[in-house]
Amino acid sequence: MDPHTTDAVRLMQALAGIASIVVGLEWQAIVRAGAVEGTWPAPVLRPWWGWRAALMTPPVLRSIAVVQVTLGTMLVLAAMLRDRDDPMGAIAAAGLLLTLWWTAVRVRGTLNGGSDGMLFTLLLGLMIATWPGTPPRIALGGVLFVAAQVLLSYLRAGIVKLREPAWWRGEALAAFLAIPAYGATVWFPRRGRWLRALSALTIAFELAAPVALAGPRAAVLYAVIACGFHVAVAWTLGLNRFLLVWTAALPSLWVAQAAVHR
Amino acid sequence: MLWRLLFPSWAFFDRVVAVPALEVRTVDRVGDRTPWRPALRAPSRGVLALLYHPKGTLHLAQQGVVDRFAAECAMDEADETTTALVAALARVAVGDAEGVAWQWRVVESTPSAMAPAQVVFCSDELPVHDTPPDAR
Repeated sequence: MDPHTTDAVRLMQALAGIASIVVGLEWQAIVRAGAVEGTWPAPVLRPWWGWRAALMTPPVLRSIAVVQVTLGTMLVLAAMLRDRDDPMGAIAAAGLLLTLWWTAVRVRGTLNGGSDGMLFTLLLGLMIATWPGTPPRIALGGVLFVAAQVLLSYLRAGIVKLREPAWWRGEALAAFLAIPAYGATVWFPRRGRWLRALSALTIAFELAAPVALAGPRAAVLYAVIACGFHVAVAWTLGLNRFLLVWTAALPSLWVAQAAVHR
Repeated sequence: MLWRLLFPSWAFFDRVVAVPALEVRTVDRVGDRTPWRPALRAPSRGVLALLYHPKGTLHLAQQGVVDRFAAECAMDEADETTTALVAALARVAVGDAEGVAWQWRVVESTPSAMAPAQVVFCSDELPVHDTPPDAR
């Protein structure tokens, strides 16, 4: 990998490490509140777990957060290492992948929807990209896999909204903001021109994702706008993990544009 | 499970659909029923919640259990495990409320629409003392 790609991977490692630490801390708080057994009682899920029940013991439940915080910290530290052949980052990513799978089995699905999926994608890409001795093309493929998923996540959402008249009228955005589960208490225009403009901007932003491949400046500009978009979503809808995880995945767009123009 | 993690659907806020909500009520000794009340409430959030908000993450995950149940009911495929998970959530919401029985239901309504909520599923009345809430 060239130095710029290596820098992008290091940035992804550091941000993915921070996201993983937050995931671990949140899990610890949920476990400590007794909410895991209250929401996903083991006696109910044991038949569904099957052979995996042996892994779903209370000691593992209690220790998984510590493991996630430790591995997340290792990933952050790995981003600072000069030696590219050090296996610490790849091992941390592999370990975090296992903890995400464990959590998904424990709660019979993803805990935080798409953000868990993107974090899994990100860690898998980083594990491949940083595994010592990985051929450069395969390593690059790991990062491009992440970039492809990032682009797909925006583009698919944009195309579906483009076809929905309720989105163009602003009605869809108003309806989503009114869903009690998101607890959108922040002031927001609920109707009229502003809402239609915000809806159109959202659709335009999502559809513009491929523009990030036009060049380095376009990639950086799109990533900055995307960060702002995720801050707004986290602020209004409370999707904090999406902000952390997508921010960590966005540097892959820079690598993707470089690969396109190589 | 692995496949779902590796290839998520990336379906975010596609179209406006009815939103399910879990509600509970109790029955006292003379048979009077309390009004239905929401079992899940979105927690408040401050500035720190932009980065760290376990209560919000838990709330969305719990709502996800209810969403899955409603989706399965819509396809007439509600399985025992999902039903038991929703019942466990409802039982925790009832807590130690006074009464001899309790009941839960899932209703669906379209946000911002004036139409009344539709009942997706309503449980039988369950004796309070036979179904202790899970430890919290």
